[in-house]
Amino acid sequence: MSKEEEKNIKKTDTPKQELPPIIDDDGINLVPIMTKKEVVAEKRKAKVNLGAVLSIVLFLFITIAVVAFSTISKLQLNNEKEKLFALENDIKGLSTKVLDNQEVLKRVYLYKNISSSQFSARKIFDYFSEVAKKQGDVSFKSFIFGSDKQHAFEGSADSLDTASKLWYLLQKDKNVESVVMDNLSKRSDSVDFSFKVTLIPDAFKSLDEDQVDVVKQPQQSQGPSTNDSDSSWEDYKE
Amino acid sequence: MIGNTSQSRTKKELEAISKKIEDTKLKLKDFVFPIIIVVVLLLVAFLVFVPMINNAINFRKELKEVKAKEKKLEDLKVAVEKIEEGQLNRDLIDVKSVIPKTLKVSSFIYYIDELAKEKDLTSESISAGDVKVIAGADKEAPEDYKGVNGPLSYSGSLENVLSFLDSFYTSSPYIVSPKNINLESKSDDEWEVALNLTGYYIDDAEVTRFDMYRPFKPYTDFSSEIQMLREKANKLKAEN
Repeated sequence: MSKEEEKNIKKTDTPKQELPPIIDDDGINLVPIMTKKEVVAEKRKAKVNLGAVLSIVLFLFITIAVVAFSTISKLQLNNEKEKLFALENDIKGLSTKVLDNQEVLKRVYLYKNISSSQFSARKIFDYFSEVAKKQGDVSFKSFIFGSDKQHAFEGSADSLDTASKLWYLLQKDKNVESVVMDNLSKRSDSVDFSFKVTLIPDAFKSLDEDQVDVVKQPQQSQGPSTNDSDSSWEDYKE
Repeated sequence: MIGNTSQSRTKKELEAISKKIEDTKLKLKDFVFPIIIVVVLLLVAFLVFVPMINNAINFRKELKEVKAKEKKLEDLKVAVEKIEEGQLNRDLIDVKSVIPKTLKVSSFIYYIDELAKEKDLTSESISAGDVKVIAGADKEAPEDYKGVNGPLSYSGSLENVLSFLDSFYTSSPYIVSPKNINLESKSDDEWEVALNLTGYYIDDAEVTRFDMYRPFKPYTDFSSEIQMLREKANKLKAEN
């Protein structure tokens, strides 16, 4: 091949590249142009760098959010603690009043506890005496006040009939929850009996509860009512 | 010869293109640095962020509790300020006179004996001693109370005996509680009463600690009980 033919082949084979002017207005340009491979690599690098920057920014946002949340929570807590401290100091100034109130309450609770189980022995005795007298010749020999609801009494009646009627009436009485006859024995001229009664709750209020009304109203001396056994005894006053 | 040259040139070009294509593919060494970064970030997240967030959540919980305490104290302040101080002092003196901080056995026996004399009763037997009483044993929160307790026995007419029993509630200056009252007829008009009587007191030696977070109940909520105690205190003042 002649040299001229080789040169022509080289010209047709090699891609035409526009070479930048080596000498231009600014000076001598020594920076080589980038190859396609280098261009692709640069583009990829730019994408990776952008991704990295976005990740860092996101990470920063999360960090700021977490730190801000934690700091704000701590600041709020400190503020409220200061308010609470000031309030506690105010309350300490009222401690005497609070303690005095507690002292009074202790005694009020004691009074309530004790008075809840109180009952008027006189009211109960008089009530059952009246019930017994209505049946005939009945007298009590002993009366045991067990608690505010359970009591027992012994006595004697003139006949078995009287004692039975008494038992029957006690069973029907509105203030009596239950009656148990412990003993019924006949003598030559009398019948001895012994009963255990359980009253309904609050059947006979203690006099203390009525005393408030008594203080406000003029005191009256009043004997037990002579009505039948079903009459109410709630208005009895000493 | 020209054909051979172009073939070899084409071959070289193909090799160059394959190399270029291979060069653009991601290799393992390209992932090393990003993986390291991700691991570091995850470690930072778990070791720093998670405890920080937990702390913040705990702060919020504590904040809620502090606000609840503030509300309690504000309510307490309002309730306490409603109680008039002068009236409270007067009521405290009254209730302490009715339920004193100590009740001597001798005072207690003297009081019972005087009451019995007033009712024309004759003493059969009387004794007393200190005791601890559990009141409200059937309730959820039974209370321990201190008292002076003793068996008594008196005799007299039925009317006087019944009046004596009722006077424990109506005219007793102290809070007393009779138990196991046994009434027995001795003769036509003589009855004997035997009972166990307890007089109560509250020992102030057991110091009440001030706890501002304890539920507060103003004593003024128990107006009827306070009224009864005031009346008993007035009776005591009248007797003295």
